[in-house]
Amino acid sequence: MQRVRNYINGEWVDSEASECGDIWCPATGDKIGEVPFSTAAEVDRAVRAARAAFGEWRSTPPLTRARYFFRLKDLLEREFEDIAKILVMEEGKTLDEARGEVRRMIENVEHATAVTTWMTGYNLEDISQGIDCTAERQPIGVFGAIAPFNFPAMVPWWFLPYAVVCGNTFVLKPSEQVPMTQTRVFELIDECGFPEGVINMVQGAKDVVNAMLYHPDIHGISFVGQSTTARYIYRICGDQGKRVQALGGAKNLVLVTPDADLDAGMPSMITSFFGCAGERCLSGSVLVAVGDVYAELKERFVAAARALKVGNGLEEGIQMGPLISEQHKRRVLQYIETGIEQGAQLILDGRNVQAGGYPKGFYVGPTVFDQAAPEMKIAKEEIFGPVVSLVRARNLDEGLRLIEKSEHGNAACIYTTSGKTAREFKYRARASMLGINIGVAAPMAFFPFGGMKGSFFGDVKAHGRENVQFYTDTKVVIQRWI
Amino acid sequence: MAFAAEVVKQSQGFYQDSVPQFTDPRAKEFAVTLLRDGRKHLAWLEQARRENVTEMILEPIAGLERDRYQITVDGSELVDEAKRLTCFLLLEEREERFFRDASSKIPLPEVSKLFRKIAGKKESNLKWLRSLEWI
Repeated sequence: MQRVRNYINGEWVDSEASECGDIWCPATGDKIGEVPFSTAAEVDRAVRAARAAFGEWRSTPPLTRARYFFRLKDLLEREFEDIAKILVMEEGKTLDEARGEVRRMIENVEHATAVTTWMTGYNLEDISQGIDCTAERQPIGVFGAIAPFNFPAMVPWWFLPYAVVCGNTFVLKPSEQVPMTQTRVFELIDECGFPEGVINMVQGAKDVVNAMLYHPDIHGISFVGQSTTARYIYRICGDQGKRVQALGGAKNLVLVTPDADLDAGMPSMITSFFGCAGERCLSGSVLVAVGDVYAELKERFVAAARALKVGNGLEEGIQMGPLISEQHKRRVLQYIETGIEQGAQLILDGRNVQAGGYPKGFYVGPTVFDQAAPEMKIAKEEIFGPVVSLVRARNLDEGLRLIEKSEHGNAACIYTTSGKTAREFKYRARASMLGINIGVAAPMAFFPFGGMKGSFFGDVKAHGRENVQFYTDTKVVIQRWI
Repeated sequence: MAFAAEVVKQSQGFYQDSVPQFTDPRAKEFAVTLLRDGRKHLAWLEQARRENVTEMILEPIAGLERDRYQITVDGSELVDEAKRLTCFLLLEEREERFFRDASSKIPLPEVSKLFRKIAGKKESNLKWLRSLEWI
């Protein structure tokens, strides 16, 4: 049974931790490995290595730094299928979803290699008589990232390549539930020959997080996870004087107007709510039927959801995999119970879904509640599972107010054939990532990723151009030579 | 750069011949690891050569003479595992010495860093080899 290791200063090292957690295959419910809960001392070793590597790495020409990532891209392409399969095994999503995720990871590597453009500064002569001014981007030091379970390949790479290619050094903590994917990726980092200490990985749980947050030599933290944790991380980093970008949870509303083309929209709508078993921050969670589309939408949506094939993501033809863990499954089932108790009508029940031959797997099938009121828990709180609340709105105004009232502001979508409605939605919706006739409004590597309100704590979002701001300081030099 | 690759390749040849000869599983595993690392190092060297070719000069590097790093080992005639591992030690020592010396003399920072990195890996291998009682 694999016990994953730390990668510190260019070496694979066994953790000295006495405590460890189990890694599960969500599809079969079998234990497939162990993850050590590394100690603060191990985090300190990783940070020291990163700090020691910083001086030389920052003076390595940016193009040379980018070349490491070009090499890495080749290796990631070579091992594409292997990474995707490991991801399915420990996370549970379907193989095609995993492939999509690995592709998104690689796109961030590709985009980061544009560093020689991203990092250029600017200048102005004669800001005053005989005085010139330049603004130059400089790397800052050691950065850390704390990643969630739901995208074990992609999310760490929203941050790592940008931080490192800008000349910083890095410490990653993968989710303790899915540490094997990054272990495979780090084997490729090792094969690339990055200088020792530039990229480090420490496995573990809460102690590792806190050690990173309080470490005086980590200059900034990137985090993706639940909103309560994101807020905590934002607060601690603020106290510690660190840069921080903390991406939290979501409760995304998908509006469907009476003029929507349901034939064209239904596949992406279904993917929005049930893709990755609803375990993503861009998943639709509340389906808002605007005006008189309600009856037809309900009928067609439920029929399409019922037809989804649930099972082991490694098998051909499976459209939805299990949830991440037994514990999370119980949490999602509890939400379904609460929905019933609070008076919503359960019109598609995924509680006893049969997932061909895997009785121990952590499955919950597509679940739809009708007559969910916006104030019910199922319509307000992040469930992170395949549970949909169907809510009615009399008109677009009412739909937009529902989005506005939500404490989250990650994503929102609308299905419509009206340009005027689409424009109104785009203009007013209080969420940061919007889809128009798109169910999963996922920005690619070259657009910023992150929400607003309770979905994001920080100022600078993830991905490309924005991240270069996060990972560099703009140094201004004012000169007079007479 | 050519000599660096030559040095690694010579070690690789010996390790390759040695893998089927070992009965001790630890020694066999170690030889396999060295082979895998050697392939990686050759790839890094080739990469460094390509990426830094515009900065390279054709004059010999002062103070770095091939003769100091020439050794001969013949795997085919040696059957004793301890002797074979002693040859491993010699080859790894030679690589460590070469890459360490060259890293301080070579004027290209990226190549110098790479040589230092490989020397560091060799140092770890030497530690392991020297810890074996039967050498």
